[in-house]
Amino acid sequence: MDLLAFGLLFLIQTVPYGIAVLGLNINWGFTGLFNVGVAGFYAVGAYTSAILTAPEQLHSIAFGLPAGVGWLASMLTAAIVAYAIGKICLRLRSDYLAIATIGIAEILRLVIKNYQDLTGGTYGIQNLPRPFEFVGGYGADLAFLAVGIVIVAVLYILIERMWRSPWGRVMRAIRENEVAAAAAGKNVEAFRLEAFVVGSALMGLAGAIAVHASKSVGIEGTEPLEVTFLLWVMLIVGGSGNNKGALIGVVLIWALWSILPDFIAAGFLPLIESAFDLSEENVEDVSRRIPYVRLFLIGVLLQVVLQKFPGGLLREKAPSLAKQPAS
Amino acid sequence: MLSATGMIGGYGGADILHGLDVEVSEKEIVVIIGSNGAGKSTAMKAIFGLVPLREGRVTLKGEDITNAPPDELVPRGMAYVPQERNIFPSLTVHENLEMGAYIRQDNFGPVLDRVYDLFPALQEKRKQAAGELSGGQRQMVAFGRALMTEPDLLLLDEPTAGLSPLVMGEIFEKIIDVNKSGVSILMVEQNARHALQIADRGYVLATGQNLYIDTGASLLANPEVAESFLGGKRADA
Amino acid sequence: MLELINFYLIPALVLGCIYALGAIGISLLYSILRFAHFAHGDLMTIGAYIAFGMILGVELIVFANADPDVTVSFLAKLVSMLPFSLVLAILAGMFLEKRGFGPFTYWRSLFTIVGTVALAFPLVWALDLMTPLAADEDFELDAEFKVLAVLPFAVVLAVYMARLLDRLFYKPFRSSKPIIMVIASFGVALILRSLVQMFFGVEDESYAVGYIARPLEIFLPLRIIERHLYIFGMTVILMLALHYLLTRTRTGKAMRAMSDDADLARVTGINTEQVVMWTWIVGAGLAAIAGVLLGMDAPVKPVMGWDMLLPIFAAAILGGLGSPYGAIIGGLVIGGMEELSTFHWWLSDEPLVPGAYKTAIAFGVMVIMLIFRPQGLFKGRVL
Repeated sequence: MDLLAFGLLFLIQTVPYGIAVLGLNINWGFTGLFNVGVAGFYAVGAYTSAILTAPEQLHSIAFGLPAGVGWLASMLTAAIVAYAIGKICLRLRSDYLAIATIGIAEILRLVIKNYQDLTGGTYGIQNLPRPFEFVGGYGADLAFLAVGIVIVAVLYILIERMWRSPWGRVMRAIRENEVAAAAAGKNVEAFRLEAFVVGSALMGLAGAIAVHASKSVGIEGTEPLEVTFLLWVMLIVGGSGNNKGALIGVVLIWALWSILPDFIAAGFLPLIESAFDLSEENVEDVSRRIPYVRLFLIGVLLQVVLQKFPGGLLREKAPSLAKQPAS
Repeated sequence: MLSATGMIGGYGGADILHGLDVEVSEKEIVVIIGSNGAGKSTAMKAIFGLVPLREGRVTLKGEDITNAPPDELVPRGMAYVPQERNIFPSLTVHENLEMGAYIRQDNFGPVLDRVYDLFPALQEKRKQAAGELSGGQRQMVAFGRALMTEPDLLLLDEPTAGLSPLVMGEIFEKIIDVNKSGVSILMVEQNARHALQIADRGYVLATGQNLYIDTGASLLANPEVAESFLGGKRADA
Repeated sequence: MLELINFYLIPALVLGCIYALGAIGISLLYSILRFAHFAHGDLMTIGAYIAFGMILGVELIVFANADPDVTVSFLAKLVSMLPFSLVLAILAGMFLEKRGFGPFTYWRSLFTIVGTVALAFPLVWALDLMTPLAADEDFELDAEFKVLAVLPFAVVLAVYMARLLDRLFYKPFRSSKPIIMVIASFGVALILRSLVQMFFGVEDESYAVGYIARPLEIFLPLRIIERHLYIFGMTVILMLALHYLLTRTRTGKAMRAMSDDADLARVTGINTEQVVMWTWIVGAGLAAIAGVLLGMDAPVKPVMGWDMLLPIFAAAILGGLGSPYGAIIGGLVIGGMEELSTFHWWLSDEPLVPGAYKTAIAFGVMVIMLIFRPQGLFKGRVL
C-alpha cells in the first residue's frame, strides 16, 4: 500500500473517532458525566445504520435505504438508549452511571452476537453502501473523507457555539457546583440528561460512519474496550473540555495506535529473538502479542497524563467559574 | 498549653481568618463566641490542621504545630470533637470509644472505665449502634471518644448545638467535670451566655479577628458584648 | 427436583460464592476509598493467572526431571521458581520488620529483590530432589491439590500487586474527585489485562481440573463435584474470617469506622493509610481467591475477570454498596438468578431465559435496584 492510500485510510479512520470524541467531550469535558459505554452507543449507531442501509443479506434482514437515512437514524437510536439509561442513572452518583454504561455496552454486545436475524450475529452485515463509491479509486476515498471532515467541522462549530451559549454556561455552572446551580433554579437533572443524550447520539453517528467507511460491520468492530478506551485516552490526552484539543488527541493517539505495532516489532522483536534464540514458531507467537504491548503502553500513557498533565495538551479555555474545594 | 498567633487562612484561597490570636493555658476553659460566619469553627479547624493557614503560628506545649495534620496532633495530646458527624453511626458505642483509643498501643481499660464513669448512660448502651442514640447521648459518645486518648487539650466545636436545654445543661456539667480532671478545653459555642458562665476566658470574634478578649465573667458583664452577642442587655447573669 | 438441585442449584451456589468474594472487595473499596474500582475483575484474572503460572513453573521442573528426553536449562528452572521465592522474600521481610529490623523504607525493596533471587536456588534444588518421585510412572499430582497448594502464594502476590497498583495509580488521587480514580482504575483494568495477554497469550488455559469430573457419591442422591466442595468450603471459611476481622479486630473496626466517616476517622487519629492498605489486602486477596476458584470451575482466560465485573457490581449494588455482608447476599442472589434463569420452569420446553442472555440478568437486577432502591437491600450508601 502506498503512502497516499495509507494516509487516506488513516484520515478516514480518524473521522468517526473525531465525531465520537466531540460527543464524549459533551459528556465528560462539559458536564462531568463518566460514560464508559461509548462502545455501546457506537454499536447501536453502527448496527442501526447497517440494518437500514444494507442490501439484501444472507443471514439477517436489511432495508436498503440510503446511507444518509441510516446516519440520522443511528443518532436517533443511540439517543433513545442514552435517554433510558440517563433517566435512571443521572440522579445518582457518577460511579453508577459508569457501571450502567459498561453494562449496557456488554448487553448490546450479547444482543448483537445472539440476535442473528437482526444483526447477522457472527456473520455481521456486509456490502454496506459507501457514499461516493461510484467515483472509484482515490477519488472515492477523498470524497468520503471530505464528507467526514465537513461533518466534523459542522459539529465542531455547533458545539463551540453551544458551549458559549447560555446553555453552555449553565452546563459549566452545574459541573463546577451542582448545588449552587440547583439553588439558582436550574433543573440540573434535565440539563445533564440533555448533555448525555446529545453526546451519545454523536457516538451513534460515529459508529454509523465507521461501518460505512469499512463497508461492513461485525461483532469484533464493537469490542467494547478498544473503542471506549481509545476515545477516553484521546480526550484526556487532548484536553477534556477543549474541543480542539480533543480532535488533536484523536489524530495523535490514532497515529500512535497505528504505528506502535510496527514500531514495537522493529524495535523489540530482533532483540527478543537474539536474546532467547527463538524458533520461527516462537517468533510468530511473540509477534502475535504485540497488540497487547501496544494496549499496555497506551494504558500507561493514560496514567501518566492523568497524573502529570491533568489538563491534557490543550487546556479548557472557557472561562472557568470560581473554583470550589473538591468535596 | 496552646498558643495561636496571627492566624490567616481559609478554604481554597478565600481567607476566613484575618490575623486571629487564641491562647489556652493549662487547665483552662476557653470559649470562642461570635456571630455566624465570624470564623469560630474555622479557627478551631485551623488549629487542628483541618484548614490550611497561610500565615501565623500555632504552638502546643511550646512545640510548633502549624498546619500539622490531625494524626500528628492526636498523639501529642490534642483531641477534637467536630460539630456534626462526630460519631461513627454504624459502630456500637463501645466500638466508637475503642476507635478513640486507636492510637494507643497500651491497655486502655482504665480509661474506658473512667469514660463510662463519666457517662453512665453510655455504659448501658455500649452494645447499641451509636447512630440509634439520642442527640445528647451521641454528643456524649463523641465526647467520650475524644477522651480515650487522655488528651491535655480538648477542642469542642459547638457541643450543645441542636440539643434541648435540659441536655445542654448536662453537657455543660460534663465539660466542667472533664476540665476538673485536668484537661484544658477550647470550645466554640452558640449558646454564649451559658458557655461564658463556665469559661475562664472568652474570645469574641468578628470577621475572623479578635473583637474582645477577657475573662468569662467580664465578657458577660460587658454591655456591648451583651447587646451584640448575648441577645440582650441583661448583663447581670 | 433433583435435576434442579444438581444441575442448577449447586452451580448457582458455586457462581454465587465467586461473585460474593468479588463483590465484597468492590463494596469495601467503595466505602473506604470512595470509588468504584473497575479493575477489580482484572485483579481476579491476575490471581487466576499467577496461580496458573506457578503451576506451570512447578510442572516445568517436575516433568523435565521425570522425562529423560526433556532438558530444561537451570536458568529456566530458576525463573519458574521466582514467583515462589518472591512470596517467601516478602514474608521474610515482613517477619523481620515485625521483629524490629527496619523500618525498611528503602531497604525493603532491595531486600525483596535480593531475597527473591537468593531463595529461588534452594527451591529449584528442593524440587530437583523430588526427581525419583516424579520419575515413577504412577506419579501424578491431583489437579485440585495443585491449585490449592499454590493458592496462598498467588494470593500474596496478587495482594502485593494490588498495593503496588494503589501506590502507583490510585494514591496520587486520594484527595481529588473520586471519579478521577474511576478513570484511573479503568486504565488499570486494561493494563492488567494486556499484561496477562502479553505473558500468557489469549488462548483459553486451564488448571487441568477436568471439567468432566465425576461427582462424589458420598451425598447421594446429591451429586457434588469435588472442586465445588472446595469452593463452598473456602468461601464459608473466608466469610467467617471476614466477619471476625470486621467485628473483633482493631483494624477491622477501623475499616468500618472509616467507611462510616473518613473525615472523623482522620480526626480521631486513625491511621487512614493503614486502613486503606488493609482494605486492599482484603479486597485484592478475596478477588485473587475468587479468580483462582473461578479458574478451577471454568477456563482461565484474559477476559474472565472483566466478564465478572458487571455481575459483581450488580451484587454489590443489590446488597448495598459499602455493606460487605450485603455483598455476600447480593453475590449469592445474582449467581442464583443467573443459573436458575436457564432452568426449564413449569415443565416448559423453553428455559426461562435463553442461556446466551444469562449475563443480562445481572444487568436487569442492577437497573431495577438503581430505579427503586439505589441504597441496596442492606442500606449501603448512595453518594
